[in-house]
Amino acid sequence: MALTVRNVSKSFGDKKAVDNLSFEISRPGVFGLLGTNGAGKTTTIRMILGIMSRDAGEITWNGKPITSENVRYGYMPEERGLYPKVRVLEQLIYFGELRGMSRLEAERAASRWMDRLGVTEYSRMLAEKLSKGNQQKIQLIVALIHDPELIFLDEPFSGLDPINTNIFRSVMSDLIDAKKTIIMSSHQMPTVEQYCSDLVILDKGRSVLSGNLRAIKAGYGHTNLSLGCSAKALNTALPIAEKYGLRILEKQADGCEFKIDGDESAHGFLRDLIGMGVIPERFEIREPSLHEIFIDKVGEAK
Amino acid sequence: MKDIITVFGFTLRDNIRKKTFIITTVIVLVLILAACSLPTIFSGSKGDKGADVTPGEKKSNTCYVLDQNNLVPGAISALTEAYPNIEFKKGESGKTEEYKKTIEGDKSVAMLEIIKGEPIPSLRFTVTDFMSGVPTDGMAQVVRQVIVADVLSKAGVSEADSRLVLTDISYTTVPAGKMDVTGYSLGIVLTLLMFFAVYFYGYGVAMSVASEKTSRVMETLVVSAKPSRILLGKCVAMGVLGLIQLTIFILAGAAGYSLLIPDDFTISGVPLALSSFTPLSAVLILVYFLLGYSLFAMINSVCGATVSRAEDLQSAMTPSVIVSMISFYAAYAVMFIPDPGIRRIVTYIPFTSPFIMPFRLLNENVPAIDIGISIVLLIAAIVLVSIVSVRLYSASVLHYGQRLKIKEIFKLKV
Repeated sequence: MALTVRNVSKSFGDKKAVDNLSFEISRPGVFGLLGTNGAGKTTTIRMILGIMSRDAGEITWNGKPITSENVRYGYMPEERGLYPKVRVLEQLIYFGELRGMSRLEAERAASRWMDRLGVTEYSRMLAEKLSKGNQQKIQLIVALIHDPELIFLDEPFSGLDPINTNIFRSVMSDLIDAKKTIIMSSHQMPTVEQYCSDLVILDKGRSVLSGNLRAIKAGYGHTNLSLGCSAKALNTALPIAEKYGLRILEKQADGCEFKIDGDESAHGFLRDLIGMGVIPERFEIREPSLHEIFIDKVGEAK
Repeated sequence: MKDIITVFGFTLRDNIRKKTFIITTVIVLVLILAACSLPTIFSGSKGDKGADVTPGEKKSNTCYVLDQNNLVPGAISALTEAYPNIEFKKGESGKTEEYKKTIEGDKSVAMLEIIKGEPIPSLRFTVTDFMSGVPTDGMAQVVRQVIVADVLSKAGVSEADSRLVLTDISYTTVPAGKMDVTGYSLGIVLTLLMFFAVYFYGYGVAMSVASEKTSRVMETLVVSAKPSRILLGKCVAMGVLGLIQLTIFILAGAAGYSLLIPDDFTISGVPLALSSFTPLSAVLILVYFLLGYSLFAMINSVCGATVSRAEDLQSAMTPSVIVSMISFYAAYAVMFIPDPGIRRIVTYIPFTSPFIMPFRLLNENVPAIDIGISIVLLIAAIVLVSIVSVRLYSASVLHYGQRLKIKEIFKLKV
């Protein structure tokens, strides 16, 4: 089970949308496709799906071209789209049938998924009458109704309220447990960190970072110190931090985030704080977040 | 094939339930039945010449005959004999104004004045208005016959010879060709119908494609099935939808024709006959409708795929509309040009043949070779246009933003 993207390029006129992109997904799980707006994420997904031609390169699934005959794939595009004047169940059955299911199979699968996502009551409603969150759920069912093994989710969590986000997360966990291969494009870094084992970060169509997320983070080492304390305690802490060369990344309501050069300076800072009678509520030495890595890499590329 | 059938079924079900389809069907049905009822409505109020009136039945119309100088003594009896459902009364010359006032408010009353003139008297009819339905031409003819009979009698001509002279000669016209007034009118109506059907249902294809782009469902759709299959299923569905609607109209027309139109109904004296409408011509007209529709539907699908908003569709369809309009007018003009060479050329051109052939099939004995060549060329054009259309459709369905121009679409790679 391997998706291989090798030296793929695509241009629109003079603009290079994807430039010599390569990556490989060799095991089930969630693969992150990250990048700024216009970085080439959607173009990459469309080329993998075969709905857009590529100028160069090769894309294969288990060594064969990706076609509906070789692999069952599902796609939830960033621009959600349903037939506004068609009843929900009817269009779910339609898309199920287009993906090779019989009408009965499609109807059963649609009912099962609607029940799972809590939208059964809307099955006879026109899609245009649904709220944005519910339309998004229907769109997710369209992508998953035929039980695909390769799933593309373009910004799956955008615009969802916390309750619907939780429902989507539980579906995502189920898909991971079911050993599905998921390619997720998202701007929500905490979500990507939560689910993605491997990723590629695109900038202007080029890969600026790719690989296993844990390995990437480990490569950066401990670069951050998160301090939790009161505002009064922070006033005491800041001169000490300066003494140990800690740079302020962000002041927060309940503390401060520092950039550190190594564990030693952080330990010294903690010793002095305690010596001054300040006991921090939180003291965490950690690797940089994906958000910081993204800013670092994309900012660096710019 | 399964994808094509799935898209076909979905598109057909979706469009057949649309208000536009239902309302259009109902309105046209009402118009067809109303048109079929017109002859019955008018023949009932006109009081046609020679209509039978049973003895003792009350006469519905009155005509005052004023012959002050007794110029045509036998006029009233001759008119009564010719028009038994009209009561002809001898009028009084002093009541002319009174008669006029009555006639002004009552269509069933008329006045005939016989006025002295040289060499023969003249007639003046007073009727309510031009739609009163009084058979003035026929009545004038009857009075003229009375005058001529009188002249012949005075000249010593026997009554039998006089009657012989005044009898109209009967004649019939037998066309050597296939054309008759019904076939001619029906040919023009079918050509117009063909144009509107091709335009209307072709527009439906473009609208359907544009709607899928506007609602952004296109991206999900092209991942689910190949664009060529989507396009084919959609075009066939809209074509079948058109056929269903046309069949409803034709059945309603046929029912109206047989149930509502009187058997002896004539247009300008020519009986309405559908003898030119043979089963073969009906099948061929159907074939030309399907092929003509397919050709323009394929072109229209590309127009629909080039726009991102439904509002831009009209302008995107301009090239297709221009081609169909030119083709229609070329075919229409050729109907009035008897040159067989020109007719043959227009029959062979794939864009014009669907518009000229219904007329030719109903009004000419079209050589089988002409029909064969025309259909083969039309199918070849459809295949060619479909290949290009599928490529352009696939290239442009995922394009959003400004409307694509033709040369830009050709630059896009699928």
